[in-house]
Amino acid sequence: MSDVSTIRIPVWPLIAVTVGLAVSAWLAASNDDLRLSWAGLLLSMVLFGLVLAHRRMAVVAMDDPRFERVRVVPWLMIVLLVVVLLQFPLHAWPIAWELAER
Amino acid sequence: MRPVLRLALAIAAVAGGLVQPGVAVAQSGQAPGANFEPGPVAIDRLAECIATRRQLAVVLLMDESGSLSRTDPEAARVDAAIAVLNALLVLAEAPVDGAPPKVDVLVAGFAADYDAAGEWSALSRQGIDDLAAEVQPFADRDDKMDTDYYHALEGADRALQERVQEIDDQAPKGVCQVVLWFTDGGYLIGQRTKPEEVERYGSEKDYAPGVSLRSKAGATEARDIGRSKLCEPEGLADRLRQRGVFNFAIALRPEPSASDDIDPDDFLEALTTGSGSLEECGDPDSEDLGAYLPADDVGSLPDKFLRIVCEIQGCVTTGSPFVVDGAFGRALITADGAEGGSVILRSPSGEALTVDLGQDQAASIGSTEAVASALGESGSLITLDFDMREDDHLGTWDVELVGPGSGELGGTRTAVYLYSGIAPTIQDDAYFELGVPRSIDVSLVDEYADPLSPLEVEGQLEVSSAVIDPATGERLELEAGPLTDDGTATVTYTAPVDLEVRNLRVAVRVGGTAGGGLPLSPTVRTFAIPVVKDSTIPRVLTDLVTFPPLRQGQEGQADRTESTGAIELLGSDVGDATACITGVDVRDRPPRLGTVSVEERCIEVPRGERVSLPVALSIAELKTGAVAMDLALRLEAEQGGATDEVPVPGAVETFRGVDVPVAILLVILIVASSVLLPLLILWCWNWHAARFRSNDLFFVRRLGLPVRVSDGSVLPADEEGPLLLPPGGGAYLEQYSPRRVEIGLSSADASTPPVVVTPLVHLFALPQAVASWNLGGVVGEHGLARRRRLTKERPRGIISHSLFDTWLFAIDSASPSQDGEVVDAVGDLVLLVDDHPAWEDRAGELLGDASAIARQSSVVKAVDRLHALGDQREEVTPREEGDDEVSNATAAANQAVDEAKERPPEDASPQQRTNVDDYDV
Repeated sequence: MSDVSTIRIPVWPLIAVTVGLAVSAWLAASNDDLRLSWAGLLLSMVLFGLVLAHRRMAVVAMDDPRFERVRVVPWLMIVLLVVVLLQFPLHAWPIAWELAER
Repeated sequence: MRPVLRLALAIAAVAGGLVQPGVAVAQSGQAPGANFEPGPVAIDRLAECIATRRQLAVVLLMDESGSLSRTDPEAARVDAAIAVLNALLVLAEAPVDGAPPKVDVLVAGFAADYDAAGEWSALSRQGIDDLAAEVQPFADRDDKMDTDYYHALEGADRALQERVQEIDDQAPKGVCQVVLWFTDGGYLIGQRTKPEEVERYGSEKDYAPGVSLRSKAGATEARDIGRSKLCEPEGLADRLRQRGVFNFAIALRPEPSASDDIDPDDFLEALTTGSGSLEECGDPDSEDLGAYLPADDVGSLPDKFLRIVCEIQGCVTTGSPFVVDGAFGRALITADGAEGGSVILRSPSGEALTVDLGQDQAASIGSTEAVASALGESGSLITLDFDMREDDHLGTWDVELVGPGSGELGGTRTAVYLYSGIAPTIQDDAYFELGVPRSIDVSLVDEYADPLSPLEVEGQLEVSSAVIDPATGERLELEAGPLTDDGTATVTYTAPVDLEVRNLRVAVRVGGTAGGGLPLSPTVRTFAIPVVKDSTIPRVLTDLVTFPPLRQGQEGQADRTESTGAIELLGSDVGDATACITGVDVRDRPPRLGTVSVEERCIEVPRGERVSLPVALSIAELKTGAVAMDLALRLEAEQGGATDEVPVPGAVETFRGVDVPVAILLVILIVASSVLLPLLILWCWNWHAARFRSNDLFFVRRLGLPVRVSDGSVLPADEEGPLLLPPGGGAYLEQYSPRRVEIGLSSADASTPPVVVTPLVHLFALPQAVASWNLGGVVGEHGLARRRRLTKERPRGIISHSLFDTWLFAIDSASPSQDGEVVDAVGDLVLLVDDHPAWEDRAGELLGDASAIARQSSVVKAVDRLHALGDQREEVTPREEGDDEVSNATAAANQAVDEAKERPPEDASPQQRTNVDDYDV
């Protein structure tokens, strides 16, 4: 290629996810109010969507012939994805427990 | 004595006798544990802690270092540890102020690191065998490197903290924590001389990073750092003391290292108590919560622990013959002789009882009941229950061990444990007053709770006491007056005016000497003493209002969301008063518990009378857990109008029925929904993007690539690429819609359906396309996608296959495709490129990509020259390799395009043809 170009997939979504995870963990710890659990669940869904969107961004760039090279941080994405997925049961458990009370 | 039998005797002694406070130990020839000087202060503190909190967590920490094979080859440490378990079991079964304490035990080992042998277990008679089974393997664990005290205590501390947290979550009332560890040496870090040692034990310590243990100097440096971490200000030793952890170290036989410049005995003493004779460890002035128990004879360890328990519950030591006076209610005699031997007991009145060793037997000597249990084939445990209301047991008892014949056995052993029946008590109406000295009377009672005069005890009794703030744990020793002849002593205390609690604990100890001059270790009892602000104000006798449990939604049980407790009040000596419950302050509760409320209620408290104030508690929505609260009690004297607001602690257990399977199912559903919803949104997003953008966006290029037709299937020679069967030649856009593109082939006849390309939504990738065809009777479909692995950096070496630049493949029509025949042929690559401004500049590169693919396939038949967008005709940008080849291919492509122009498909519509012409196919 005459004009080799490299795209670096922005990291800010992953930083946002990391910050969001901290908030989510706090919400999970503060399970005294079910509304916080619902908020945590919603936040986890947003974070999950953010990670997915970030991955899509990377894949699209890879298929984009304008770019010779695509730079991503796949391990961070995978770690965050796993942590985000672990948030779901944390928030879901108090909700389910409350709903299953007789 | 054989260790096992000695152990059995010790266990039996503990298990059989300590249901009453106070024990004395005696043995013929040698007093057990004669070299044992327990840390009396720490033992006293532990006894008080157990009496106050009634919850004990013990980490039994066993040394596993290799030196044990020399210092304790018979593994007496295991016998001792099991004896300790049995001694602790006595604690767990003996009531303290009416209820036995709960004892949790964790068995762990240590050498280079801390290693828990199992889980925390609540000590019980049923479960002690399991704990003993955890201890037993330590008899063979004597081959590890290091004696790392830092890791050992750090691990034990961590385990205690976790357990305390668990207990606090269930019943937040505090836990007495004990680390009880056996070791045979000083703090030793071994040099790693072999690779397997490095692999197993590591080449450095986490507390000494960068210090290699492969050298002797490094091992010594790491040990010094570990010692420093233990003993520095606010180090691990201090932190243990600050957390109130009792630290008892049992040194089997300290073994100084050749390179050790520190006396291990002294270091262990400093580590446990804060200061040894030569050095200090942490704050030497901190509260004394540790004891160092050196043992020249490891076999004496069971006796040591029996004596610790005796210390906790009150005991004396003596020899045989032993004197029983009015202070004792029970004697326990263990005997180990020869098989077929016997024990002869002689009471003060001269009666004799012969007990055969190794036999079960029951008899009486006067008013004293004697029960003998076999301990192996040559040992016995004899329990003597004295009737303290009689006096025929008072005097000197004699224990004689005889052999199978008639001679006395020399060198064998009997041990006698005497249990005291003395306990302190205080007057019912005792109280303290803020800022005013108040005296309370302490008296003595026997095991039947009958008053006991010191005159009935031939020895000398002493009373001492301390006041403890239950909120802060602060402790203050109190002066106690001498015991009078009627068994009463006076304790005086002035409660500080800024005292927040209205209830203090007073620990009373009774000690001294029993008949015959035997030292009587203290028997400790604690009492809750009310504190009043003013003498005109009633006293609150209840230190904790315990409500009956509340239940909701539990199967087989009626709902109960209201409960009633009571606060006992004693009217002042001055005048009448009023007591009102005004509210409740919840300190701790399970999450999402409903509102906790109490009914406001008042009651008259007449002068000097004892009344009960009912407290009606209700909770709107129950959850499972413990609720701790402070009930706001307002006390108002009618005379003088003095008032006081007293927080009275309350506790209630609440239970809420939950359908657990439903909860689990709901969790699964919620989690599944939460995961699927973002995925659905992503799919919708991709579906929206998966469309051809306009009917102007195509130009078509063709590449001839080698393929192989085999058994009806068409494969590329390089094993990849989508396939499109004949009839080759040019292609043109036949029909367009954003979600469907039909491509006609110029060489096909009118009946040949076009190749249909439709978008394919892919969740985690760019939208792709699927081409389906029916050419020459061969029906096929191929996704124009290629799965790629996401890596940190991907060089783009091949042409992309997305909707932006999709390619198809058409095989030469002349190529046969017969069953079972393998034919090499040449096909055409058709490239569809999005009409995006970005591509205009890159069109040459795209063609270069296509030619690269062709070059990789080694045979280039023809390459379409790109004629991009209107009149802009790009020159092919040669790639770095094979420039000449690409140029040749480009020339061939131009020729092929011209040929294609001359053979327009007959069925193409004018508009379609226009499109195709526009793109110079």
